[in-house]
Amino acid sequence: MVKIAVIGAGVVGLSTAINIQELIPTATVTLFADKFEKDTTSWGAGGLFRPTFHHIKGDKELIRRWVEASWNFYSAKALSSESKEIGAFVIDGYSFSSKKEADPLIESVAFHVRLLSDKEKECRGFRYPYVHLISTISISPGQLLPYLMRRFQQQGGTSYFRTVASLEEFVGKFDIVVNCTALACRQLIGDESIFPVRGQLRRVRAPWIKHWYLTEDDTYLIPQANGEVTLGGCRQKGNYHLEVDKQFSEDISKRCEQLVPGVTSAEVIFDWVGLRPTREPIRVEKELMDFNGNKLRVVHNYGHGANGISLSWGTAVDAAELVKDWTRQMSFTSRL
Amino acid sequence: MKKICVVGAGIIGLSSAIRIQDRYPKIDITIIADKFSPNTTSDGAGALFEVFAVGDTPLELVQKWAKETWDHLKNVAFSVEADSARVQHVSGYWVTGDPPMTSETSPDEENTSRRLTSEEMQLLFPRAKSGKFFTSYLVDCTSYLPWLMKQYMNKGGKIINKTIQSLDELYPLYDIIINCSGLHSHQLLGDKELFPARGETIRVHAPWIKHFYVQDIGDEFTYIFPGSKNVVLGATFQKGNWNTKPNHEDRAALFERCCQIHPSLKMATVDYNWVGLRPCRSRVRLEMEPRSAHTKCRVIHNYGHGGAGIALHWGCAQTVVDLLQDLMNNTSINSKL
Repeated sequence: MVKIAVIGAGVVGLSTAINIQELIPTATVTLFADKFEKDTTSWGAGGLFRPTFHHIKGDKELIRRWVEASWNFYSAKALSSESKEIGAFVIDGYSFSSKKEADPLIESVAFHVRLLSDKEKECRGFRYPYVHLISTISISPGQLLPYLMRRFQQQGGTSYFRTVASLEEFVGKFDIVVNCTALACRQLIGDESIFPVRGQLRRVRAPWIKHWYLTEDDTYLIPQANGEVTLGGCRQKGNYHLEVDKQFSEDISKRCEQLVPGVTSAEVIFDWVGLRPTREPIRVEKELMDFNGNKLRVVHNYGHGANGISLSWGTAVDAAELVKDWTRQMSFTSRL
Repeated sequence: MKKICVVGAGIIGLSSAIRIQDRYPKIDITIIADKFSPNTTSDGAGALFEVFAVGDTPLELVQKWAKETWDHLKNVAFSVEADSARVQHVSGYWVTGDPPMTSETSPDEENTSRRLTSEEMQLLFPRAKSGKFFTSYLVDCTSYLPWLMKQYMNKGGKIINKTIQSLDELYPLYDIIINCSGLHSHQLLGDKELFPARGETIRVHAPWIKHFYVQDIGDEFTYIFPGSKNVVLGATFQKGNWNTKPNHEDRAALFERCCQIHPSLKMATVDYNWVGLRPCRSRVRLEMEPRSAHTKCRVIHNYGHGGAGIALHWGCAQTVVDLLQDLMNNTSINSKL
């Protein structure tokens, strides 16, 4: 009976834990984290499925594969009776761009992508060179995270509150450790290539808004599964500040008002800051770590940056395969 | 100074009253009605912009009224008033059991429609033959009517909550009556060309649904509208049925059809059920009553909009204003369109 520890309970940790359970039904999977649900970075994510090569650095084929796997999983949910429970739904929206062509990544999976005519832009008061109407999906973390945790637990998983200071703590206790600690990897394993991209957003009560809006200057409106709308935002590389900048909140509202007049009068539910854990490229790989001669089988799955929701499932599938690789190696060596 | 009385406080009455005030800011105007929002027929409407059940009202008129209303809804939807008025700009699907339509784009260049992809047809509407995707406007009358009412009262409009048995009761207090009493004109005027088309809807809590879905196959008309307070499921269209009580079979059948399109609706909680009687007529009656001994006041009729109240209201209200203008200027005493 293989004992596997997953560290990290954001969307990547939970998705990876579930995929391991389903790929290796005989394994015991235990989750460790010091942030759950509302405390995670995933919690504030808009959840819009609109990945672009522009913002995701790395091997294009690999990224495409991850996007497709995530899309296949979530789009099926969005069209099923589980839509409510998971917070996955179909939604159309406007992508504002200085380029006529839509990013090939979203084009490859979306239900439909279409360029708006000048008349259509005029009618809506859009003053951008190009606006694409894209039919895609969105998965709201407010429903997704609780769903993933339930699924993990229903399949026999247990989770513990633990701040992990070093992976060495797991030597001799678990056969394989899966590291989904994102930004904490800096201290935890000394990976200096991971960095925060700070995002600030505002959640408002605006149930009359049924489209999403996303511009190139990081202004966005993303409706949630519960009818609330997330307004944003920013991408501040290397900024670790977790406090809400009040002035900036007003700036967000103003920018969103340009796209959807009247949204500034919507009731504010909360302001929020998240640090997107960014690594170029995203790290999904095995590592045999050595702690003074004591070996630890590790699988890393972190660095998803702004695309945690869109890439989590695809990378989780791959990470689970890597865990399975480890188990094969283990049973081989044990037979020697 | 002429005293105006508008009979009826549904979408037709309110829009007529407001547009009269816009034309005549100092006018003495009173709305008399036995039902105000949220108890009018309009409040139960979905309502997605769509013109139907208008009998043989001349096409040019319908198009004129629809275009004017469309432009008005567009202006509201993209303005700061969108939240208060709850006129939403929404995208969605419209499918039929008929073979594909020849044109790929709608006549309205501001909201181009496209054909649904085969993937979309397969995933969402396996029973339909063809479909289109486009953007339109959804009006939530439970907010839109109060929004209109607020403007009306801010401009000095008066209201009286009262049931009247005859338009004659309004003489001599008022000089001109705008009759927007919908189906009530059946009793009020004895207009036998009016008939109800009973509609039953279910309102559910399903905020994850962001599109409208309309399926028109054979005898069945099914819709799902993503309102801002709840999602409206419909529809029934029962000619001549005056029954305002909910019917379990109708509701169960329409709920089942909606769930076939969007399975997640099975998990939605019900907000409330509604029955409304669409005020259908051989044709929309929008005209000045000829001066005669029969009515003591001058009357402009504006009723019988069938299933097109929301889609035509603003344009019809303008025509009321035009007729009123004629009356005030005494340029015409018998004007029929």
